[in-house]
Amino acid sequence: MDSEEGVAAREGAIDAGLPGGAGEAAISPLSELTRPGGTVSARPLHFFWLADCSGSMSREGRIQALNNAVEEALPHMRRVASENPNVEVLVRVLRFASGAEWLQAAPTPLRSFVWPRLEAGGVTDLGAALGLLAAQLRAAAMPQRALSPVIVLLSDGRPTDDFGTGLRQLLDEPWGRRAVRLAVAIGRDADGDILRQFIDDPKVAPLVANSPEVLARQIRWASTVGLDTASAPRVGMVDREQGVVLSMPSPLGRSTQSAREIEIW
Amino acid sequence: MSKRTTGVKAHAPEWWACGASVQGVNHLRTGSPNEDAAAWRTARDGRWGAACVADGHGHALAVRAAEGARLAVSVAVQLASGIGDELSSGDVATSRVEDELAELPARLVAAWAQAIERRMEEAPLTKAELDGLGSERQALDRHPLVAHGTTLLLAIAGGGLTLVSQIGDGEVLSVDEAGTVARPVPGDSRLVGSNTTSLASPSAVGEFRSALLGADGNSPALIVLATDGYVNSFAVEAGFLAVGRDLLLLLREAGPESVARSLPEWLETTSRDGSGDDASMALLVDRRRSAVQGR
Repeated sequence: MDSEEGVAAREGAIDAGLPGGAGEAAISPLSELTRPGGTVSARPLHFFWLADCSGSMSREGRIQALNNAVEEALPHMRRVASENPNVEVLVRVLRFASGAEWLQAAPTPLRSFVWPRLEAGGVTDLGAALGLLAAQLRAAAMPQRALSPVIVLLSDGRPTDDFGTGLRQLLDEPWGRRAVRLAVAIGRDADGDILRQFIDDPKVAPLVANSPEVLARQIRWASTVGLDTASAPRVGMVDREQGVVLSMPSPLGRSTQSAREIEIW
Repeated sequence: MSKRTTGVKAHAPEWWACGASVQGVNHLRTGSPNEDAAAWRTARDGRWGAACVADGHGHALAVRAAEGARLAVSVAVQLASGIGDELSSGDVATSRVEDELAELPARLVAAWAQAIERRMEEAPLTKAELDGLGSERQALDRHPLVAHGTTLLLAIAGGGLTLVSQIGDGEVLSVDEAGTVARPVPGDSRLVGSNTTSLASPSAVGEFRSALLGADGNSPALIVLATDGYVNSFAVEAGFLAVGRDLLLLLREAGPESVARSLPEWLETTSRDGSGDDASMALLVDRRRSAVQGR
């Protein structure tokens, strides 16, 4: 054959390919060669808490329960994150009531993240919150190499503003569509239909929490499984004609709601 | 039809290639095989060269992703040989090369699908492979090639021209003699968060992104092809782009043999400290333009 070739596809490393004979090249010792390129680092995974701080969250200690539940979930999130050193989890918090605002605007490494204790009061401007979130998920604001973001929405009511526009803004962003979106319905007044629209995946139902204990468990589950799911990148296959051919297979479909829970809310 | 002299005599390019593919620590941790592959081929006299990498999909349905990637690079270098011969044959019309480039995706997809078909006749999916898919199996019935789903990045150089074609994520860099680095292939805004286009896609032929380099007389000195496990390891984009310039310097100063021998370790440590994913790279070097010494 009038050509020289090589192939490499090995496990456990190492397959260097050299075409043909070795020739007479001066071969430098490996240690003398500097690795090409700039600084390398773990891939960023952006985690967003969207917290309902409307007036109804002050009833029956819901907002305190939410604060406690997230604080209790943080060590579990750190444990999951520590199992994958090739992922850097960065956390932000967005509260919504009468309007929406970032409480943790800068992406904060999970290891140093402190939950800001929330207070309740106002209406439920979820649409505004989704609009703010969409702006942070624009391509220019997200590094190309990031893993799919995780968004956990915690709410006890129904939106009082233009939820549809906010949701459209979020899902119009490729990173918003690609995000692992989870929702926890706090109490019986939470609008499950709105939360399902936010999740936008028939295989994933909103988690329901009708007591502080269940809320803690659901928040722990949503945050850790959400992190775990996004940390192990699973390819989604996009196609010009058919859109998304394969979506990310979701381990999020299972319900964590026990049939016999004491309902307080 | 415009005819151009390929400049075989004037430029006398001498193509040299190498590559490597390593398993990422994430795959080691989960017991998954290396689902990347790399391959390269050059004419013995260096008149043409080809290099490619592929990244089998990390998706539950892609149960034969590693095999899909290996078959992709295998059929790619086979096709590239014929094109390389033609490119370096002397006079070739630019329009003919553009036609080759336009036809390349369809030829690659057809050759890969045929290779998969042959392989599936020899070794159909096992019960264990199918049982592991659960309810997702229906998607495989609709898109059977997905079991072998993979990306593919290919460069073929000869006669002063370089054809680059890519489907899916990963990056191609071209580097000129001065060390200036460019991304010759147009980007795809849909490829975020591990989304990728695929050889297994129903409209794979239309999903290829391609470029023809050297038609303006500025043929690259070096082409770098890398899978996303390598690219995603760099903290910032500039850090990856610097790879092109650094490799050109290393090829000049240390020699191609040293670079080829170091490549697996570079891939391994870059991925280990970065993405943790399988990482592959193939280099296509015009030894005359890059002033690379040795063989």
